Amino acid sequence: MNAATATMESAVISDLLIPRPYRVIHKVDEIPEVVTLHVVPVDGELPQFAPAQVSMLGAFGVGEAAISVSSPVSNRDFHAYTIRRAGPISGALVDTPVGGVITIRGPFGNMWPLDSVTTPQLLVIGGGLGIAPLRAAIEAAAEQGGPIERLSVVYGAKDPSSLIFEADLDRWRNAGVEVALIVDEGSENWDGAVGVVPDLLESEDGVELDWTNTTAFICGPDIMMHFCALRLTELGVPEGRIWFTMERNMQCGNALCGHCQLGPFIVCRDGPVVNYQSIRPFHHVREL
Amino acid sequence: MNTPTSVTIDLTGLGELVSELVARGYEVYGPQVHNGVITPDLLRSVEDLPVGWTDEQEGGRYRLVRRNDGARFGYAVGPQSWKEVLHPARTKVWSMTRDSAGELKVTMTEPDRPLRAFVGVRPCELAAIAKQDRVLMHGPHPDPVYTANRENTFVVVVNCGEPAATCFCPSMGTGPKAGPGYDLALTELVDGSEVRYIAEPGSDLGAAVLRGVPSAVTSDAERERGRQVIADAVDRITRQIDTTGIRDLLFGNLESPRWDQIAERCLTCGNCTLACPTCFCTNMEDVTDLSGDHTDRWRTWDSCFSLEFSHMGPGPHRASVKSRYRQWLTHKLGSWIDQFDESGCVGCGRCITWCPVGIDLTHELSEFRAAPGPKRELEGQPT
Amino acid sequence: MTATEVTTEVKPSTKVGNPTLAVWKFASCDGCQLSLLDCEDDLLAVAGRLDIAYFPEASSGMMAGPYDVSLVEGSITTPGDLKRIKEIREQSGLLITIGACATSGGIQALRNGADVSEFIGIVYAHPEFISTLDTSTPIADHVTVDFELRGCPIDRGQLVETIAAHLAGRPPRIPTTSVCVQCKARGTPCIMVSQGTPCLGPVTQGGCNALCPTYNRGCYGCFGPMESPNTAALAQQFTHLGLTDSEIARTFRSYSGWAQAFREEADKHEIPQGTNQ
Repeated sequence: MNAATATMESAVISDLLIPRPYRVIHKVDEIPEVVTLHVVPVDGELPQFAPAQVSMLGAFGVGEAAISVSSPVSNRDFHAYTIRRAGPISGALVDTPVGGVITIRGPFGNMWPLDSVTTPQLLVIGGGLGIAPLRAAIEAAAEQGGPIERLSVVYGAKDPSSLIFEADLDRWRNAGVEVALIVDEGSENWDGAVGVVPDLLESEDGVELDWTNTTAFICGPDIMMHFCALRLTELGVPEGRIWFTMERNMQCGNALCGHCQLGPFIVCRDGPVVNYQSIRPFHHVREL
Repeated sequence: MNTPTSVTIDLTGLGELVSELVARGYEVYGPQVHNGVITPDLLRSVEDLPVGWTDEQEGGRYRLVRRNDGARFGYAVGPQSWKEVLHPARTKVWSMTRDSAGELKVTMTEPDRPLRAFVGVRPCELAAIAKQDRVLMHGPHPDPVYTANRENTFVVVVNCGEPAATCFCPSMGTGPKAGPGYDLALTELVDGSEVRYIAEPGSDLGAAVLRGVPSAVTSDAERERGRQVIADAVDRITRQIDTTGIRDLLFGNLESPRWDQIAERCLTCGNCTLACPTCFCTNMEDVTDLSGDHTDRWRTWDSCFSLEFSHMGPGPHRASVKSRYRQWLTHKLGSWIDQFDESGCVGCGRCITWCPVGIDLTHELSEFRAAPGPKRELEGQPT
Repeated sequence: MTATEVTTEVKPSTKVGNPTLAVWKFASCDGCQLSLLDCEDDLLAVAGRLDIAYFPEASSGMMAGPYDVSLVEGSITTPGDLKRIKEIREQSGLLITIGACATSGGIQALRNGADVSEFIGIVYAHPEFISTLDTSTPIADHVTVDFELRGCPIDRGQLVETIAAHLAGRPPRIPTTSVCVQCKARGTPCIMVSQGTPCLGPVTQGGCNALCPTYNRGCYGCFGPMESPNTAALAQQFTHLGLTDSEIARTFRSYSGWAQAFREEADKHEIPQGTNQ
């Protein structure tokens, strides 16, 4: 088999602009239409990444889509990307067979500010596939100790069958992480909470924390992040300790193409992780 | 470099200047009359310059008009800027092939590194080049095409003596006299068909090039004429914007009904962004051939006025016309400051002239200024 | 042409038989079909990936349906057309309409709203032999269309892209932005601004590579309305440029005049019959 190569003579060109072939070595069917691809570079080393960073995953001839790395940082065997079939590009990525080759540029962007958490409590809130970019942060926070004494995960999905990473959830629970789940619509076998994610904040079904000593990482639909932040500030979490990940139309990943702007932010450069205090004036403005 | 000393050159000297640049291996570009407008193109000789032409501009209107003198640079700005050369509308980024085993091979396009001299750059255009330098060359990941095109440019700026009615460079601090960043600056002194230039080097290379051109010591009278050319230009510029707190003014008016009024007139055609010398946005376009085993990635100019620009999973994020115009104006004059520590506007007026319906951002800004919308909190910015 | 001139690599089909292609004509000038023949090297590539099963303009060999891909040119103007397009739809996997006639009724849609029987009486010696509908309408008014490729005529590059995309299972990359984008990309100065020439470019979808403005003619709107056409604002500018209401109506009522946005704008400026303009 021929080795895939990326030839580039010029030092001027950022690595982040060069698509690098990666082989799919394993696929996990999470839920219908959502898979996690385990990938390794066809040539060379697996690059380092930080929790929350994003890559441009390319399907040959179809195009690229921005996807967060969902594997733990400590996993040096492969990178995992969790992808939902939403259009032709994500569909082609989801359909890539084990042994198949995709291209990846990245990872780029900033990270969850794990090292600067000064509070004893860290609350991680995920909505839908938003749990994927949080997985590495949860793993890292559980491993690293430091000032974080209590780690809580609140995770909401459309319905019980839409919850992913269930094995991880069990593992985290066993490791002493507090895990609270909620779904928009229950089912026969579901005896957990039904409602929206903010319902779990300061509730017996969910988490009851010393809110003034809590830092929160939130990833999910814009509307969910908005209401979670409102609820958290109401409970006493300072705005400066609430962090979002933002999603916009990322294309170049190099702050050159202009697509992923959100008010003053260039999401691929200034994000995806942004502080709530900074994003609040812009976050809820329609079509900004 | 040594203290810049100005000299005076005549039309022969101007020709010699171009010859000197050609002798040094530069492709020389300069303004020319093409298709009823003055636009930069490869200069075969100084005879190609727009001798005796000027431009009249208003919102949605541009006309070439005859002058009754021999000015070579007696016009304001045309529809095209140096962006067309430095940041071209369409470039190939890479090619990828897939072999029968499904393996991929990527070949990046190695950009040319041409030696180019731009003669007749306007002060506002010089400022625009500096703004694109900042975005495309001095960010965390330089753009390879722009960097390659820009590395070896020799810039001859010509101070502006003939501003158009759409110009507002003094408001943006970019003209009519050139700021730093040029290799040579010329000021055109016109006496009927007699034309002289005060030439000032702005770099060691500029000084070296100038030494190869026959020149005379600039007299005090010429120096005073040169100052007067600039002063007269300033006096003739009528449009202006008040940039005081402009970022907060715009972001404080994100929900203003004024955007709806602009949207009634806006064609979303994209002309303002494409004519703008600082607009830098690009789109990635993968083109596959019929065999299905070869794909080329092209980078093309894009515009925040296109629906696809803000494409997200469920569809365009900025679907309404007002949201697209708002993105453009708030970025150009507001969030550009957050992102790149300066305004994105140079006051060249192209977006006013080349808007087919003549939407005038200076007017729109004065409307926002006159009728402040509900104030919003504005502390937010990237951390 | 020799084989060495063929630049596009053609992948031999790996499965038994390529997908089949049929090309159909309704009321039209044939120009869009000819664009396919005009694809030159790319036509060979098309022929390498698709078996051309029915294409009377190009080949006498005609295979029976069903067909994987049908390209349909022309508009629906007769009762027979109505019946035939339904049969074609039933026989076609993917149905792609090509050109302004098929996608918006074409120039012949000028008949819509006029007295067709009067035309017939004037034009034909034996009007009794003529069987026609009162309107010229796009294919999508009658059957489900999978993709509409605009233009009068279509652009062959866009046609190849459309076919390549469908073979690759992705949506075609056909920009829906204005003609102005293409003028600016190729360095054509805006003729409306620099010459005062009325031009439909700002409200028309690009695809022609700004052909008319580049030759100092205002855009005729061949590719139909762009993604968010503000026809009212453009019409107002036409008034500033000195066009009368009836001239504005006629400008919009051109090759894509029956396309909704253009038709509605034209209607706003139509002078009632009997009024002198």
